Amino acid sequence: MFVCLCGAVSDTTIRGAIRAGASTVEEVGDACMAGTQCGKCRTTIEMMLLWESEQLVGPGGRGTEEAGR
Amino acid sequence: MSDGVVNALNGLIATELVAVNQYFVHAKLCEHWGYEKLAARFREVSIEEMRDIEAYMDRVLLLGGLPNLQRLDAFQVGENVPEALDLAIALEERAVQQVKDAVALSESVDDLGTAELLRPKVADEEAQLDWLRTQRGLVERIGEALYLASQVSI
Repeated sequence: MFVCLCGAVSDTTIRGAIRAGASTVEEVGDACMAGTQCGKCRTTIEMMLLWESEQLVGPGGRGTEEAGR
Repeated sequence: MSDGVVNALNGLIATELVAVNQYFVHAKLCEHWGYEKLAARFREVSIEEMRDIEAYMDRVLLLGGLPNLQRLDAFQVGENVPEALDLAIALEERAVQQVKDAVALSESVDDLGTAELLRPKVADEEAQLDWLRTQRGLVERIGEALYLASQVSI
């Protein structure tokens, strides 16, 4: 689904940017433009960053790639 | 006038504004994809939500407040029909709870007029939520392709 409507950036693209190393909302914006215009989706991007960090470096080590929605 | 009730009504207006926009963009996307029956339904619901906003605005004005149409919260847009349905379900679940809370608040401050205005909306939102869940259930039971075929009006 589209998370950043200004830039038509989907959750898949944002998740890809996070998995490629973006670790802040700003870095996600640099990577795929998400959250760089009106900024309303920044909270959602922050939640995705948190979610992904728990998936990748959660308890018990690296989580499964497919665990994310 | 109760600030709490006016704030609650403005909160409902904010949620309805998201609903108007989210349903409308999904209506136009469905139309673009060729799912005209679903598009027509989403479009109708979008306009219905606008009528709800008008009723809430009238009530805010009657109570001496200022209707706030400036607040448009963030929302997501589905890339396909199941995603659009899931997003609508999440939105309606929030809306049902918010209307129920507003009814309870209105009654607690003896604002029965607002409570009477809002009470039928609970059933309306629940009916809409039920319809959406039925659609989502159909997608699961008969399969996405068959469901989508049923939404084409050719």
